Amino acid sequence: MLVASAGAQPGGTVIDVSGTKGGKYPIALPTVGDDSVAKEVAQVENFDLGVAGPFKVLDPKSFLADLRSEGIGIEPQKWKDVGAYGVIKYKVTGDAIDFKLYEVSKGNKASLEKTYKRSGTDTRTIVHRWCNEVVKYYTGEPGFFGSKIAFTAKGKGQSAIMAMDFDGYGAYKVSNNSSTNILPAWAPNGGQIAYTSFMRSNPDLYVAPAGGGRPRKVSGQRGMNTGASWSPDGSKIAVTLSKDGNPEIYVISASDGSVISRLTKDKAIDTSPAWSPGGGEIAFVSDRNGGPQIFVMSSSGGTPRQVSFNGNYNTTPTWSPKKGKRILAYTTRDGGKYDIVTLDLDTKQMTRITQGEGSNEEPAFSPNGRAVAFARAGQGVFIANADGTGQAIKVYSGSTTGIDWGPAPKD
Amino acid sequence: MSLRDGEIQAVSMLGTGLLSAALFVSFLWFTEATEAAKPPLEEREVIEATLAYRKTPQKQPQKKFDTPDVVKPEGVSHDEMKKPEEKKEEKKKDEKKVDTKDPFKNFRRNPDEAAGKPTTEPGDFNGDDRGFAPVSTGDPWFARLHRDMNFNPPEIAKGTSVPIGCIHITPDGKIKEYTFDPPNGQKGDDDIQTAADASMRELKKARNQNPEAVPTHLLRITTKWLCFRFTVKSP
Repeated sequence: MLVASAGAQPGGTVIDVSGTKGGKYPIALPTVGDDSVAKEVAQVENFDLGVAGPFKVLDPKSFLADLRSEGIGIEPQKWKDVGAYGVIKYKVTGDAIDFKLYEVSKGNKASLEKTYKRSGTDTRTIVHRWCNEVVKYYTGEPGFFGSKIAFTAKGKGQSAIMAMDFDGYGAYKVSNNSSTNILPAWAPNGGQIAYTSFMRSNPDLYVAPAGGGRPRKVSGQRGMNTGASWSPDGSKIAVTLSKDGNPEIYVISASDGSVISRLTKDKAIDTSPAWSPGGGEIAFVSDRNGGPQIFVMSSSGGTPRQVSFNGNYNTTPTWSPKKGKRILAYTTRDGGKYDIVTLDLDTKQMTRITQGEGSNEEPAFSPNGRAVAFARAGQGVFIANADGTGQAIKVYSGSTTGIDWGPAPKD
Repeated sequence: MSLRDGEIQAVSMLGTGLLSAALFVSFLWFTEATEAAKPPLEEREVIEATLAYRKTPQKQPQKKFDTPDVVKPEGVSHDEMKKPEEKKEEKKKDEKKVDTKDPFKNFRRNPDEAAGKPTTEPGDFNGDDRGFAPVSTGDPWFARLHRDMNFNPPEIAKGTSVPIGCIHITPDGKIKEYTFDPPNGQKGDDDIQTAADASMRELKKARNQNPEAVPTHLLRITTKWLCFRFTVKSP
């Protein structure tokens, strides 16, 4: 926007070149060193900050600086000339890794620096921690590097609950049976995962340690016990039960599965509850008005309100954890395929996360709300920026469904 | 008593004759009386009468047309001393290429450029002189200049500085150089300064690749650093 402040300065009209903050932050992440650890640091750092959301990682081919002579410092003008706002340098020694973040406008003085001991901690974890510090420095929010994603991996005649690092590393089985296991849900503290299993024929709800282990049956009502969603304090679970014939939304105790309240009572099918981060609302899917649509109601009961109106098929809602925002992500059908969209309930602004790239379902927000994970039919688990920018990145290959993103990692 | 046809005819003729005579005598008597009552001849009004006759039809005046000079065909000269005339090479007229997509391309002028030549030369660039725009921001040339700056600080950009960037623009619209930190400016050492710097770099690149000549009425800006203030507004 061009704004004139007439007469504000002698000798002419001052023209304000007024810009609005909104773009990505160009950051340079050069590889410093030739050894395998140095390369691993660069690789993990590039991935983390590349999917973090607010950054644009610059192509190393464009770098003008002499990395050898610069060492862990920088020559600001060289980085300014390639469009970098920030530069991260590091130094790997026998027992530690030193990181420095420079803002080119501030010269060659580091804005943020950290040293991590290598003993007993793998390089990936160290870099994740550093990248979380970088995200926190710029946004004030915790990063999600080091968090985990749970999902359902489909196999022949069975499906297993699995979990992995958010970047696809270290996948492991949570469920340990040869039956069908679906719809995992992380407990808010990250220590447990609830899921529905057919191991005893009926789709019952179980809670298992997040690292895998013997599950505990929480709800074994006749009929469906599916689609668990934990309350923010972890004491309750919203779930779909069909014990009275028709699938309805209930709130049960997370410890013993006893029914605390029944939220819906309708001839239609009500399913897929999702507890809001503030705890006051529950989103769910109902076909009471025709095709499946997203509804929101108070977590203490009341009249549901339809919030999705795009198309005639919208399912699997999930809430963004962003404070002060009421944003849902869900699956929508568009032209025979399924895509992920987000909807700001207050501004009604809808953002497409996927488009024209396979069939995408069952989204889950990262712990800071800046990324979304989802399942792409027949391909695997992907993560993408929640603002709809950039390309989705595959982090796990295979036939997957039922995605849920765990809480932020503890330092 | 009845009359025969012959008798009837004789009587009729006699009657007719008598009646005619009576009428003639009366006419003469009345004519003489009238003549006696008229004024003398010289007092009478004369009315001329002419006979109509057919005129020869007259043609409308005709425009004269020049008849082309008759070009006599050149014959064979009998003058043995006459030198043959050198044939003049016909100059081929330059064929104007017409842009079929936009045939009126050459007939348009830039509506933003003032017609005519500048009345005064703007003068040379004085690197010690800095100034802001001399006209309002409604000028379309300035609007396009601003567009090419593309000042968009990143979402997470830190800082509150208000950098002032200045350009040295030449009359042909190219940007020779840019600088910051003018006398009235606040020198930025934050991301806003970096964004302003990137913006200036982008402007210079864009304008040197596709220069847009400075309009006549703005030529004065080429004589000094032309400065802009970079501000960030809330989204």
